Amino acid sequence: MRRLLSLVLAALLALSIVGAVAEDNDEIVITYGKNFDYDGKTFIHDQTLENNYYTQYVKEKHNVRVEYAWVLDDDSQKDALAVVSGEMPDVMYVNQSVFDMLIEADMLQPITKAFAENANQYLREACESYPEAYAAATVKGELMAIPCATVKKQHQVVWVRQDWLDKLGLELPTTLDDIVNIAKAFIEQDPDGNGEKDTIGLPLDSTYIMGNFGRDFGADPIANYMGSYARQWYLDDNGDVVYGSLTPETRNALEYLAQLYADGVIDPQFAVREEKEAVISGKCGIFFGSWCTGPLRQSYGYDGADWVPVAAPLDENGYFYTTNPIPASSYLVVSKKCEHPEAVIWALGDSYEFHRFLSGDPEWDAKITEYQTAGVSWTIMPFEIQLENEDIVAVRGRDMKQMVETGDRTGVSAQNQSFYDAYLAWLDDNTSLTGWVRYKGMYLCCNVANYEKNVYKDHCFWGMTPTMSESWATLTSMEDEVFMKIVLGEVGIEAFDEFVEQWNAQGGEKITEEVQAWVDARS
Amino acid sequence: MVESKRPVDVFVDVLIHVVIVIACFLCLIPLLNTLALSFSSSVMASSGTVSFWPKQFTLAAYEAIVGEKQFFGAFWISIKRVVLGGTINFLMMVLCAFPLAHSEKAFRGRNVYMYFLIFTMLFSGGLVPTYIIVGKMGLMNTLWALILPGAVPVWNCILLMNFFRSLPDELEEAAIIDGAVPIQILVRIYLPVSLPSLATVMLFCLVGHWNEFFSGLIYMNHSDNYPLATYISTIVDSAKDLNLITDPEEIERIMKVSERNMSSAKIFVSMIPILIIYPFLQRYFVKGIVLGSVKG
Amino acid sequence: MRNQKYAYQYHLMLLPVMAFLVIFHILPMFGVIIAFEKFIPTRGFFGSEFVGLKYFQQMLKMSISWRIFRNTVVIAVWKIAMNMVVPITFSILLNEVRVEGFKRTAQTIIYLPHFLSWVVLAIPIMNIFAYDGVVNNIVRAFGGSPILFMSSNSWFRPILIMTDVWKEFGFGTIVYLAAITGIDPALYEAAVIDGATRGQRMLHVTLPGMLPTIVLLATRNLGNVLSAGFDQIFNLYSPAVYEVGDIIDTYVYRAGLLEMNYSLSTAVGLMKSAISIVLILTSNRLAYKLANYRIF
Repeated sequence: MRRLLSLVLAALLALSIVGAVAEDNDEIVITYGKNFDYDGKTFIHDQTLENNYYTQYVKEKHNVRVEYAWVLDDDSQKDALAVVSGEMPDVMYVNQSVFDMLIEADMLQPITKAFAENANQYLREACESYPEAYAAATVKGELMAIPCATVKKQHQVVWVRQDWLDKLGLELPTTLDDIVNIAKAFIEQDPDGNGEKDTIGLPLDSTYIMGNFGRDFGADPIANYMGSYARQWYLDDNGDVVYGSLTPETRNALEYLAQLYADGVIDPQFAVREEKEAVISGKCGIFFGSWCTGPLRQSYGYDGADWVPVAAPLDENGYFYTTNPIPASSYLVVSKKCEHPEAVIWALGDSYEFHRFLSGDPEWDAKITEYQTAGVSWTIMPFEIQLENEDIVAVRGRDMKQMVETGDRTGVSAQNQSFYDAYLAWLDDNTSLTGWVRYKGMYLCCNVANYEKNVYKDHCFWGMTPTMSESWATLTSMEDEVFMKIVLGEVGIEAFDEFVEQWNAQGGEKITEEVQAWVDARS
Repeated sequence: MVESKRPVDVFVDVLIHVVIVIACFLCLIPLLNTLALSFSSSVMASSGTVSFWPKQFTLAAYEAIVGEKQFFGAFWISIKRVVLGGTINFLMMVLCAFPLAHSEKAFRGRNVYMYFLIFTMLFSGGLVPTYIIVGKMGLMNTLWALILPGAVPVWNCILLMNFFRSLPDELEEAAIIDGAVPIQILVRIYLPVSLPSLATVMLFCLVGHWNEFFSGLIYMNHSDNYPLATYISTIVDSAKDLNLITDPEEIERIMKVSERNMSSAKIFVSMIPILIIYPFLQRYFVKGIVLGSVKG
Repeated sequence: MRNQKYAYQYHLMLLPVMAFLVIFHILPMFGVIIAFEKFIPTRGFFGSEFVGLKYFQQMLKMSISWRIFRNTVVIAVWKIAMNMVVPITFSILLNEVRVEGFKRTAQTIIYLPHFLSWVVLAIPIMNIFAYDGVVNNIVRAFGGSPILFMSSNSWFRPILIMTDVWKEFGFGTIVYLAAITGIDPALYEAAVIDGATRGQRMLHVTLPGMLPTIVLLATRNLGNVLSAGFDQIFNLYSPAVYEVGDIIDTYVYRAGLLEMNYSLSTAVGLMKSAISIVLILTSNRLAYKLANYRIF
């Protein structure tokens, strides 16, 4: 009976709280489908996704509350399901294909005006620094979404274990031959010194052999060096559209990779292995990865693994060939039914104002410092969309270089200074992973990514054409398969020619025309 | 039967036993492999050298999952789902199988119902329309979304019906003469003699609820509402997707989670209820499955 | 009691069952309409542009259609065949065991895998067939060079079939074992008196005694020819083995949920259901003819 009573009391209490919130008449509530994975996330002071410093700041500034229609992993298909079932929340964060579908289904509202009138300085600068992304989110002259611009200079470089190089008396690589020789030495000469031949050469991603920006373990540095830009639409010298997977250069690159595989330089079991595990468990000493590569972090603490990034392979003039990412592949979209598009812009701008130490209030600055120290993820902010200036990697690298090498903090943003502090803490006690990552990633690798002789191949198209929506899945899976088989040596390189023919026959030719028309219409 | 113990017979006997023992071992391999991985250190578990015996034995993985609220939350949701879903399945199966066990002569319309059942078993409107209905019923993000769409396990109903049909007609006729009505006949006569079959179909239902992961994935709006199987499917997935993450400030968490020994420990813990419940029900099981599926 | 006296009570019992089926199975079936239209969510199921058989034509034109159809049938037929041969053999072996405790333990162990889900089993299976997994270690020990089983177009299918048999053979064994138990012992005694050896008894008494059950299960499995096991393949395959491992169900999933090509996906699914229902009705007819058994 007493238990029942306490239940009733609790229920009453809960109701009264709900009542109290409901009385806040001016509060604007925005519903949002959040992509979030609780796994491994830190919360401090018993905070939650619904109530934390970000939400408090947004609430204080503009009295906006974001209510989550769902909180799920990115790879859940909830957004697609919500769209088809007509129950789209006010705001969603979607990928390119859902974005295209929403546009076609006319479910989005233009936010040109809301953005122009309500975006704060940070938001405006971040978006304007990236005109390509902004253009990608603009349809018929109206801004239809906040694009999540892909940060530039996150391309793959070579990560190599300096401790193994030293042990075998090798130098850091610059040419393609260097890379191959190092990989061979790592396989043959027992760099981990356990007397067993259990180390591998170059790991390779099993699904995306090349042409996937921002992933680790692609063969892109090699392919790009050879002039091959797979999975990318670009313009050739005549202004004609080219799909990079079909070029003779790609054929050469595949032939070369197949040779590497046959020689055992590429991990013989790359097709079935989680490559990062080889890195974590100390069986691999050289791989292609970006500056914020995941496996590297996981290998932290593995005995003596001293990873160093290098821009390689370089051509005879020292140029490093690489590619820029698709300008934007995800979008924060606002439903036609949303009554307060301005509140969406406010919430987003406020979150970043707080996050970037721009609130101008020391009390809030102390709170964001507290978050950074405790390792609280920024993704707990209401809309977890990454909004950076286009040159963030370049700036971070430059700032870190200045601070690490001279200790001078002039002209460095508060956030970048906090990275330097983490680095100093790591120098002190050698335990902070964050500090180690700041050193390896931001100091060493951002500067490698900043290499002055980078040559970028830009995308000319990254959306979906009508024919693509019907046959693109088939074409890409055909591509994946053929490339994989060629590298594995299951089929000869002639299969590539047949692939190109098939590709064109099964809708590829039409798609190329459509892309060409799209590009022509734009220029 | 009296066996003449010729040497060749003894040899054949030994051979048969050996084959059976090997088969049993093969069946236990995944269990042993999972156990071995869960007790190995994370470095050894990632290195791919652990087969059936732990390397660098440690309880670290189990200690780590004890502190995971989400894991045990999911476990608890699965328990609730199994109990509630199992009960509803039981009611539906019994209510469905009993009337349909009668011939068209005693129950006109029986065949129509039957064809209807078959039809629903074979055709489905697909994921999206079902999703919309579940949403319209207000079940989204509740436990009911995992239970009600599958409330009637049609195939199991048919199994049970076939068993009921195999019971002698005299049972029912005698009861009717005593003045019993159908529901009494069902509860007092049919159910008590059908324990093996009921245990069998119930085992199917319970295990089905425990293992089913897809509906959790689509109907739940918050990952803390995932049942255990769904939760496991996401950790398996996230292990695949680690390479996708490019966000610099995000990757730190990877240090702490999704290592092979951790997921093995979780997988093993998720098997425990099945390992516990199974020996109890399997006693009936042999009888039940055979009666239901084979006898006409 | 061959009259309709209780029919209304039977209808009443079936009412909740039918309610669930109508809501969660029949209502969503209106959704198949999107197979015939260019589906646009805001316009809904009934407002989208009607395109007739366009998606069915597209399906017939796609080069991938033949592949997924072929893969589905080949994998399913192999699975059905092996899932008969192995359990039949094994049940005969198990029947020869006289030690009850051993027999029971063996049974318990061999059908345990049936109750574990593919989500869970995928991981140990991948480990075991990995480049440095148990199987390849054995290959190496015999001087062979290791094989990339999971990405090999010649090995992937055999592995699907093997692991499926491995998971299900224990379950089949029970059914066949029961059929053997049902054989009249007098037949064996007569055979012994006639001087039949053990092998002859197996061949001439046991096997014929099981025949009705074998025929029954064989025909019943006919209906599964287009279901090659989504859960298993979904959790084990990768683009490298699409050529031999991509089946109708996995393709429908990818086309529908990942590529959001709902109309095409629904059309393919609908085609599959239509063929399946023909197969199932045929198998029911066959089962009745050959084994005098009505499944429905």
